[in-house]
Order: sequence, then structure tokens, then C-alpha cells
Amino acid sequence: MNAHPIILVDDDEDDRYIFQEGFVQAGCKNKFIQFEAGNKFLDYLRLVSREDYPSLVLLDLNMPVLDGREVLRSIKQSTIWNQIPVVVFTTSILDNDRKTCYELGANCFISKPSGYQDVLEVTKSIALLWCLK
Amino acid sequence: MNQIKNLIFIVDDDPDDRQIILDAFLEHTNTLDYVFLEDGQELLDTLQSSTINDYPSLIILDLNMPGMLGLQVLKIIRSNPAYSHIPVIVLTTSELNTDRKRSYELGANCFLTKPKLYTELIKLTKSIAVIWLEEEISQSVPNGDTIKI
Repeated sequence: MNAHPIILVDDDEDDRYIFQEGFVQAGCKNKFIQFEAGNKFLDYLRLVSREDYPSLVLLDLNMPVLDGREVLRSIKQSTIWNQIPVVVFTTSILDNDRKTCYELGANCFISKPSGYQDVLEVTKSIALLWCLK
Repeated sequence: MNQIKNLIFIVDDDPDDRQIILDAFLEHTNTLDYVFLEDGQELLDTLQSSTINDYPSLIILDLNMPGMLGLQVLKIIRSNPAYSHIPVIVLTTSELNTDRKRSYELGANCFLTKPKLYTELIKLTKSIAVIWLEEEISQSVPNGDTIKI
């Protein structure tokens, strides 16, 4: 098993399930850790040693308490966390969100497709690019 | 079908690698324009002489090249507001974690080690196209409409 976990941060449990399924189908052997809120993920990250930093954070944007933009800002403005790849995977199709995320340092901004199979296929591509070495 | 022409810059000092990378992309799309560049300085000169309409959709960047190293080039690109938005994918023979870490710290969108098999490279370029190249991310759905991912 790859020691570096894949982190799924999304307030929608069904989405987290589909993403994990996509990664598994792509062949990822990583551990998966799911968070339903951005603040809970940052609490976790503060306790993790560098050797255990995630391979990838798949991040939703619109979540209660602390949204994805603030999570992204916290990661990419940190000189110790900015090495962690963050892919924003969101229902948003707004150019403004895309622009903001890239300005904040997102490694990629992807609008979620509507169908289950399409989400699965895009997740597999994400897995291949960021999680499979 | 969306007919947007994607332009990619392939920056690698090895001419065989440049051609193989292009061939792998062309397995998926015929709406691709490309520019071969053999070192970092040539990339920076090309970007500097380009207008905003000529900027590439994507830069594929090798790390170990004579003259300016890929990481130096990446740093310069990310510090220039004119083209800091252009996605840069590092595609290198390096498997070093230090290179991966440094590439991400300097703002690479993705760090990939060159696969040994062409079939594996085709899979990677397919995923890159799905994620970054607009023509490829329009997929037909059964009713004949097109959805934009």
C-alpha cells in the first residue's frame, strides 16, 4: 500500500463514494481518508508528519463551515504544505471560481460532469496523473 | 463537436522524446497544434515574443536540460503574471521525490515520470487531454448533446 493517502474533502457522501470508487478502479492502492468539511481536514493535516503528506487532495469548493477556497488558500500559502497537490473538483462552472482557484494555487480545477460514469472516468484520469507513479 | 484548436509547447532537449510525446497526444486528437522547444531559454524567448492569443493551452516541460534547468524555467513562468496561468506539466525521467516536491512547490500543475512503455505514455497523454485540452473534454452523450466537463 502506498503510504501517502488520498484525501477526499466533500460534504456530499455520495460524491466521496464515487471518487473513491474511481481511484480504486484506476488501480490506486493508497489509503483513503474522507472529510465532510474543510476545517476537519485542516485539523487532520496539522497533526500529520511530512512523511505522511497526501499524494493528492481532491477538494470540493462549496462546503459549510470552511469552504474549499479557504482550505486551498491555507495549503498553498503554507511553505510546508504547498508541495501537496490539490485538485478542485466541484459542481461550479463559474469562470470566476476557476480563476480564483488557480490564483490560489490549485493544481487543477475541474467541473464535475453530471453523470455517474463520466465522474468515474474523470476521477480515473485524476488518479493516473497524480496518484499512480 | 468542439473544434477549438489546442496549442501545446513540448520542451525537451531530446528530439526523440519530443516526437514520442507528440505522437502519444496525436493518438487521441487531430485538433492539436504544437511547438517543439529544445531548452528552457527557448521556451522563455518564445513566451516573451508571444501575444496573449498565442499562449499555449499547456506546456510539457522536461527537467534536466542543458542550460537553464526546468525548475528554473518553472519558477520564472510562475513569477510572471503575463503567463503564470498557463498549466505546466513536468514530464521527466526523474523519479526523485525531491524533484517532485520542488516542482509542486514551484507551481507545477502535475509531475509525471516518463513511462518506459509507449502504451503507458498514451494513457498519460489521454488523461492530460481529458483534464486540460478543451476538445477532448467535450464528450458526446446518448441524446446527441454535448456535455462540458
